[in-house]
Amino acid sequence: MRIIYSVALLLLMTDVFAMDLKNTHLVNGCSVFNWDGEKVKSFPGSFCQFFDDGSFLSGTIDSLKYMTKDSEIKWEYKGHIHHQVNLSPDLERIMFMSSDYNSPDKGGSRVDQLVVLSRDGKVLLRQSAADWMKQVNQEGYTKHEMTHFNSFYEIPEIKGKAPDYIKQGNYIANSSTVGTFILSADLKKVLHFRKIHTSHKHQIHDVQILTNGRMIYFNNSHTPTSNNVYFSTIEEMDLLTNRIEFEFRANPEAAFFSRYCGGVQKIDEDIILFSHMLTGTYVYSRKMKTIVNYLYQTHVLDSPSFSPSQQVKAVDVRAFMSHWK
Amino acid sequence: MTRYLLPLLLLVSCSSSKTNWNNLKNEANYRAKLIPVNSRDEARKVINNKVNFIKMLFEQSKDPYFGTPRWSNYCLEINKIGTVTESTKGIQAISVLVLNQTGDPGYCNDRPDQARSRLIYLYCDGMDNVMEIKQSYSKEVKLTTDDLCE
Repeated sequence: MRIIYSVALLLLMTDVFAMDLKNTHLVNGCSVFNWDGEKVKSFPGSFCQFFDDGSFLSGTIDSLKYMTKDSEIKWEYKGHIHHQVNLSPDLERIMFMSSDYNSPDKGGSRVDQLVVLSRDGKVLLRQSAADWMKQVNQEGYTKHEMTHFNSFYEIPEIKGKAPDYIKQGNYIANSSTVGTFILSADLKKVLHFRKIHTSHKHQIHDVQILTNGRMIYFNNSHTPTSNNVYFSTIEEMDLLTNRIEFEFRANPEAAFFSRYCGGVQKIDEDIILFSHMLTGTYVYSRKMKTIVNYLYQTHVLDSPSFSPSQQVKAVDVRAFMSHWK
Repeated sequence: MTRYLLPLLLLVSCSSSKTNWNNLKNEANYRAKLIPVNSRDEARKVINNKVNFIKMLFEQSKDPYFGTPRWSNYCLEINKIGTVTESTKGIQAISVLVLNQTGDPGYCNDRPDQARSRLIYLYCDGMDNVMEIKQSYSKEVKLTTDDLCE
């Protein structure tokens, strides 16, 4: 009987996998992996986005470059790019986080800038996080870092019930320990501010608004339990009720703890993909309430030296990769 | 077909005893891809872009959390990126890199399916293409100072 159950489970897993992710590769930074965990190709940079015509964006601590399929640099935006580079739902705008340092050698602090570019590299929006901090009466994270933004997305078309500020074209940005900001479409006004936790050790990553109007994020570090155990969770929150509608929590809890980084991607109503900073990429089925696929190689093969991965996402890069054979 | 044969014939006809082109062709695992160009200027741009891509791929950085360098010293040493050189006969860049099974760079020789190889970008005047040549590395064939268009 146990064998029959195992075979049935395997068939179901194969079916789930085949339906939702069969046309995707896994992208970790600027490296592309297949679902056998083999690295298919590496591109320059730390944070990349790939386009169907073979061109791509490459972000580093020095700049964001747009390169053609022939490796020609078409434009470059100078700045310290960190954490992630994202695209608007219609793929027309580029969002990223950059940092300014106010004389750090004289005790100044880091302040982030959030920038939106057009596909041809023109600055559409650029706003300092210091303005938002004033609006929500926040002083800052530490003496040396006023903010430490780690995710920045445009809000997609909303098909479910959500508060008024959750509107297509607005933005959601998250700063470690400070909190999550819902920003107006011109980036000037904080429409809503949510302080997730006050503990210095608590942080969340990769905060996004889903088309159902809910917020999904990687919750890195819960305060320790009574026996001093730390653990991470993946959460989907209804912003109207503040209720967590979905949570992934490992059993035992400590088996999944990613202190500094983490990525999450809702593939559909069943499948959620998320990545731990060190241990790899997980595919979780909400219907089956279990991990249905796991790849360690997405992390260990990304860099010859073992180092944390910010996030791994499933992306359909078939058209892009056809230019790089 | 003529388009592909012409550069090969040109290279062969241009050969002299100094040329290592024949050595290249006869080595095991030789692979060549042709990138069409209309002029020497265009060829220069193609070769510069290709070499810059590899340079950017191996740009050193440190992860912000643990400070671990992206590339080890060993890896940067065994991946030798060539410089683009021009002669009266053509343009070339010869790199010695660790390539994977499909001929892609960005590796450090830490797996059996990776191998040290030569990656050569070559354009000789009169060609319609830049040649991207990949072949197994061999100590016996010293190419770094030779003009392959001679």
